[in-house]
Amino acid sequence: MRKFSMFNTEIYSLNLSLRLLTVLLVFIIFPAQADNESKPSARSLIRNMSMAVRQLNYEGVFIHQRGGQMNTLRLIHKFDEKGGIERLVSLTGAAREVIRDAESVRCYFPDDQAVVVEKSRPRELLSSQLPRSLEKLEANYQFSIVAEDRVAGRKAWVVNIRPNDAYRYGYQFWIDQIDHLLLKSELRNRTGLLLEQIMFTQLDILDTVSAEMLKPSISGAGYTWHNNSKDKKTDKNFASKWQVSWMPSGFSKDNEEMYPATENKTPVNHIVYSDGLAMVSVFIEKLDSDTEMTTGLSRLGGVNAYARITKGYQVTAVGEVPQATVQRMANSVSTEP
Amino acid sequence: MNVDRTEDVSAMIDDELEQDGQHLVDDLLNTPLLRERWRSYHLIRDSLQHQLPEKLDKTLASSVAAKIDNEPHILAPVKKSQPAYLKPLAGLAIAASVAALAIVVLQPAQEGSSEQGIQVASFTPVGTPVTSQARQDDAQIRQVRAEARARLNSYLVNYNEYQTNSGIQGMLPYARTVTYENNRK
Repeated sequence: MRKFSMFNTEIYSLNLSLRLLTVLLVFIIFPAQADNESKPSARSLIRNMSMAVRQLNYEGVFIHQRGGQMNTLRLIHKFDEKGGIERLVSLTGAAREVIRDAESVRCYFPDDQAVVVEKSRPRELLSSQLPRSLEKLEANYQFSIVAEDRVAGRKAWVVNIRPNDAYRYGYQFWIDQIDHLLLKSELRNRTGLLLEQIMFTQLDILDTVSAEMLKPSISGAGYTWHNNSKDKKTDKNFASKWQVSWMPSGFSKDNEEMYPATENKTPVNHIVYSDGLAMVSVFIEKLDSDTEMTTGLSRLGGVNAYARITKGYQVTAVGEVPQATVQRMANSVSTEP
Repeated sequence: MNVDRTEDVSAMIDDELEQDGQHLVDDLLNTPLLRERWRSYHLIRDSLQHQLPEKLDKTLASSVAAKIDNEPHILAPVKKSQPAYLKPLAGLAIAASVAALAIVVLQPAQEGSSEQGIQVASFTPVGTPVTSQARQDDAQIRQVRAEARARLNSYLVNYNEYQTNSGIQGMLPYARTVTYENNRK
């Protein structure tokens, strides 16, 4: 990470002088707009970004890269009072789609001839949640605006979020200077290694989003439908006997819920921990005698998972955090008070 | 160096070596005597064939050899073979709804399973006890079988949904759900 930051510092100083010049010029030419050109705080940018991605209507194409894989996807987002409707379509490989609204998440898989319907989580009130979590974040991450850049033809601030310890990853966000949408995002480990990234190549803000744009291109007729949205009971106030005794500093329990597993109806206990940016889910499931046991580490892009068996239960920690974090958290799970 | 080897050098120059050419080349590069023989035999042959240059630089070969010896050894990167990929949902053994959740593929993290994986596995966090523990378990990672995979993937869907709702990146975690097909073989 050090090399990475030094590099950014150089860009930063270069950009600083350029920006000073720009500000000066703008001030001379358009004195009234000079304020808009001054550098905002990283925190306010992040706050604006998380509002913008939900509250604007937009349509864009982005590249998603993890490991050696690269894919292109189209994203359409419509704002409404109930929390918005989103449609994500893969433009490479199988033409998969995910459509999400206030009620459900529908995933269309033409390659499997299947549609999976999951219940969507109720939207939280962002305005009440974010400022608090951002303050909490500053104990464990360093925020800085490291550069200005251009992505998808739009001017962007580059916000670097660097973790203070090895138990979480670092992020770099390219945030639109005018509309505050997220244009590019990188997930890096502490040594600066890029784990996963997305980058918009085209992004348009729309006045309205037609119903047509949010309709799946796949009818789903003849597909196998798996509707898991009905039997999922979530109880916000649920608290089980399970305890996670170790977690990185700044992490706290966000939520705990119970829901039945998909086929065998074994209930799964899902506890979510977060430091305000990184999230770790801990899943606890009772094993039947014939259940296949899984232990060890798994990975998907920047997401790591670690599973272990304890007292006839499988405990799995999943999160966009380093292996050591999911592993230590899973190992610390017990029924002790 | 024994006589057989110098004879082999002779045979090699005449392109008459019957076997073990690889070892000879290795020996040749490692043994000053054989390198000298190689040079002499070439000189003799060139002389016999009237192909000698006007002026011979006798030190050239040894100076080149000395320079080569001083070069750092560069090992060509060997591409690790990909772990055998478990097709999700192969066959009907998996109950349908469980199967459907295998949409997202959490790969068993085997050592060297990807370029990034190698580096992720070897990165050194400050807390050393954690790292050494992680490495031990890395070596013990098991192949995750289909049903177990499906369970992991249903976890990932739920994790994504939570991240989408509470995270600051909106819908983007679902990009993982939509793009795994390149893994399929």
